[in-house]
Amino acid sequence: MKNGFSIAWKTAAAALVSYSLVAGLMSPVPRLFILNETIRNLYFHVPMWFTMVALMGVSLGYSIGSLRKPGISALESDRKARLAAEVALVFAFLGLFTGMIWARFTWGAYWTNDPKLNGTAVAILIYLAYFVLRSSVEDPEKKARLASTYNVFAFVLMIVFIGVLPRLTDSLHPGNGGNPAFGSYDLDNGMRAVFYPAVFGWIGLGVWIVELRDRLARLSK
Amino acid sequence: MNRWWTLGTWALSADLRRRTDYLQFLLFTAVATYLVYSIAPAPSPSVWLALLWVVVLFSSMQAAFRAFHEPEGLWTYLNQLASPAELFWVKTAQIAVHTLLTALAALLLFGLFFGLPESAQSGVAALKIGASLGLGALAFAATMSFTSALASRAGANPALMATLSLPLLMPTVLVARRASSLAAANQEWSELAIPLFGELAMLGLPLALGSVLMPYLWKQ
Repeated sequence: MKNGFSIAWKTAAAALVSYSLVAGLMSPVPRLFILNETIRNLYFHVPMWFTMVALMGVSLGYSIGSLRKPGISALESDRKARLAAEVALVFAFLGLFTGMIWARFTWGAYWTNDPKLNGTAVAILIYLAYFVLRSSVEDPEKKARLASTYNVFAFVLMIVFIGVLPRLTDSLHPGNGGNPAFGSYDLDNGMRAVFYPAVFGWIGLGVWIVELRDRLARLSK
Repeated sequence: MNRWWTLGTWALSADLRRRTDYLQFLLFTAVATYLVYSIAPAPSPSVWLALLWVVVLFSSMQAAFRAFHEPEGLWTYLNQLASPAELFWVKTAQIAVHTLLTALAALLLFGLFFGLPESAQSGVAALKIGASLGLGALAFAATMSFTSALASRAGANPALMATLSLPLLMPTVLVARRASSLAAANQEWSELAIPLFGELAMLGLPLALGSVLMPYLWKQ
């Protein structure tokens, strides 16, 4: 039963990502001033960030679990937290690159001094610091404990930084500073039919990658 | 009550014993300010504020790094005296005093070398700058207290302290810079309320998180 469910959600994730890749490039999109065809980036850029936040949430969950459990269980939870953070970081870079390409064609520059962009850069730095902290401690139990406490502390501040602060200041980024986002006029029902499957598909794929890497880590021990 | 008194007097006596360290930090603040003055003697108000925050940030980070730098035997004694959360609160208060003193010294030195921005020369504007700077310095202290504890547990490496602190301090820096920009422009208190509240939130959040996480961090 458990195996059947596992196959079902992984198949669904692969199917949704495949569908979003094809439909994201082929389906009709609204003709909007300046945005033009770049609006298709919504199907690729935004799901990367959603997946990043979801996987960082998974990493946070495992870090909390690591702090609450004793001995070997704590180390196993910490390993899963690390793997989830690593995959989240890959999605963060993908989100950053897809956003930079979009910014080049709509804002005229790859990078601007925008609170949302600065927030995402700092989110990446926070998680790079997490790995620096891990590499600076030898003892596995101590490493698990320190990394888990930092992960919890950092995740909350990161959410404030990327989720709350840009909304309080002026920002060019859609969804911030009064600019429209995917909930407003620039996302019609046709786009929703591609966007939401893309989000769920990429999150599923991200969780699947974490699971595969965890199995690989257990086998290589 | 007796426990708090013991912890407070211990922190104070430790500070007095290491007063030459803190004179070094003040000297660092003065040298950094003079260096900035020699490179850019007449900065615009926004550059003035940015430089002030950079000097305050790096000076107070050095002071915060030393806060959890105690011999292991002393920690064993203190762990019997107080809970990890209580130790965190005492250390945060200690770092807060240092960051406030550093911020005050930096503000005085900037006033001396560069003068205050033209719009900030009234008493009310100076009060507003002081409020935004003070709250920002306290918010720095709360985050740096936690990262200092973390760095001390990971082998007391100053580079690690900076690596862990700087990304986490960015939200505080941005909120504090916005508050102080509005204060330097002598905006109304009603305009300043949101960024000042933001600074308060950036003080409360790390304090609450640190209090919850410190027992896990401090566990042997």
